[in-house]
Amino acid sequence: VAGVLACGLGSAAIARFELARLRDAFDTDMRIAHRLLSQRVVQHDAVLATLALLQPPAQADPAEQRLAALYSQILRVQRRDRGAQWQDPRQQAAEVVSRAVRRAALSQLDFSAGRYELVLAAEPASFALLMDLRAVVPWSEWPMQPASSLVRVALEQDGQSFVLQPGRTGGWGWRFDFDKHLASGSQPFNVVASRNVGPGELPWLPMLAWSLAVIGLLAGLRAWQGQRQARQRAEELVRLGQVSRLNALGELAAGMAHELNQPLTAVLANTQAAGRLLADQPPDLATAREAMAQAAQQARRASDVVGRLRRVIEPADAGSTARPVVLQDAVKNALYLLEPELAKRQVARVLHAPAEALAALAEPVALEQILHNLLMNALQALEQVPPAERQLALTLSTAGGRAQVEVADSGPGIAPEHLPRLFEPFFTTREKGLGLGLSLCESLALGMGGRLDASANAPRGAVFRLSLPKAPA
Amino acid sequence: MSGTLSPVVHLVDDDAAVRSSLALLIGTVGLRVQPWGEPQAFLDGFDRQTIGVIVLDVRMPGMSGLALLEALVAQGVDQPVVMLTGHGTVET
Repeated sequence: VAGVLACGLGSAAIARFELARLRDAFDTDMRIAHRLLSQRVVQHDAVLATLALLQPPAQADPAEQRLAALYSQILRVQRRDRGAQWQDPRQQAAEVVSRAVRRAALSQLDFSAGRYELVLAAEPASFALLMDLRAVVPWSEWPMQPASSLVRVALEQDGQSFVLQPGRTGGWGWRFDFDKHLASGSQPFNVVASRNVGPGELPWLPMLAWSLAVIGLLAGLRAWQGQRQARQRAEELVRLGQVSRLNALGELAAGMAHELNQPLTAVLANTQAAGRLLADQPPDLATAREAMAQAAQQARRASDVVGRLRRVIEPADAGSTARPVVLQDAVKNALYLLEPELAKRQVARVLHAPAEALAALAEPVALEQILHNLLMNALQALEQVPPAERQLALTLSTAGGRAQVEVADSGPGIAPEHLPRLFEPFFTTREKGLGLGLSLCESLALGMGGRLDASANAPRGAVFRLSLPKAPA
Repeated sequence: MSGTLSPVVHLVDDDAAVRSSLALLIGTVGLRVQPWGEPQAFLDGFDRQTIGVIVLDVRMPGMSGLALLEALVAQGVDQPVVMLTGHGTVET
């Protein structure tokens, strides 16, 4: 809905802007046209005034006729000498008017033929000019192309109309109008112009472009939102996966507890019963012996449960699949996987590594798991100190012919009394911890012929050192 | 001591070793023991009139100890019930 609205409003604004521009152009053109026409008709007054003042002699006919050569719009010059009569009574009437208003007067207005006459009363002779309306217009300076212009321009006077340019009228659209009298007392013709802007003249291309841009933007926005949601969903799935793995572990632990508890209960009950039977007077030796045999059998059963469990969870011999692994790559990969976690906790990290590739003999998946667990441990330790003090240092080196990875953090460190038990299964200092992470890491390291140990980091924190056999060069 | 009026311990556990060793242990202190391997068989067959106590294993196939307890309560059995579990806590 917002998209449709944006498209509509934007397009309307573009159309409005274009209409305003066309309106401005129309107004400017018409102001120029009006000024040009006004200047021309004022010239006619000046010509007549000059004739009246100079009173060229009647026999010097060429002087008057030269005017027609000079001004193309003047078709004919006529004079009425003192005592003479105009040929046309209309000229006579115009002269009376002219004498009264003391300026030139219109006579023989014939816009259908494009003619009008201008009469100025004077002494001794009065003069009349027959004008060609079409030639009055200074076409060379005209601001529009008369043949192709869309503007209709006409001169109107006394209900008569002379079309200067037809333009294009009618049809659906917006209409601009201009209506102003020429700035002349003698020839106050009305300049009437109109311009019709049809739908075809609207700036469809920019409007379309705008709409497409809006649609594109919206589509982009939606795609971005979709992507973000997908990412959130994926993160949620990962989190759920971790939770369900924990649940599975909890289930496994509960099952194990029951499996072991049964034989242990039986052992306890049998030995207690045997104790009582032996304490009886006289002791019931046969039943007590049987109870003890039962106890031994149940103890073996418990041992079998543990053995079965070990066979299930013990990893296959990792050493058999060991191959050269470049430690720089393995470390960078592990860091890359934890990049969001590191960024979230604002952990500053450094990687010290030799320039040449350092290759160790290792099982790649096991190595990845060890590094991941060590980094996760470091991150959890760093959570307990302020962000500004969170430092993680990884160091790759060669020591005693073995390849070595050190993961050092600036966290709270390991209490000395915890150090010896660090790699024990189910030993943990974290409330929600299973205590299996480091023990698993050590088992994996040992399986690859490596070793894992921990010590205090200077000035504080913990450092875990994984050493692996070096790959033959 | 073990007359018809002495109390009976009903022992319900699916594990034969646990059942027999507990029966032996309870027997050594002079109580009568009635072991049951099947929760349903116990529900159908135990004598509700005698004085006694019921010992239930929480974790049994078919019907758990908690479900059996609910069935007993629903039937109006007022004998004391002791639950056996390997876990520190039981989610109810």
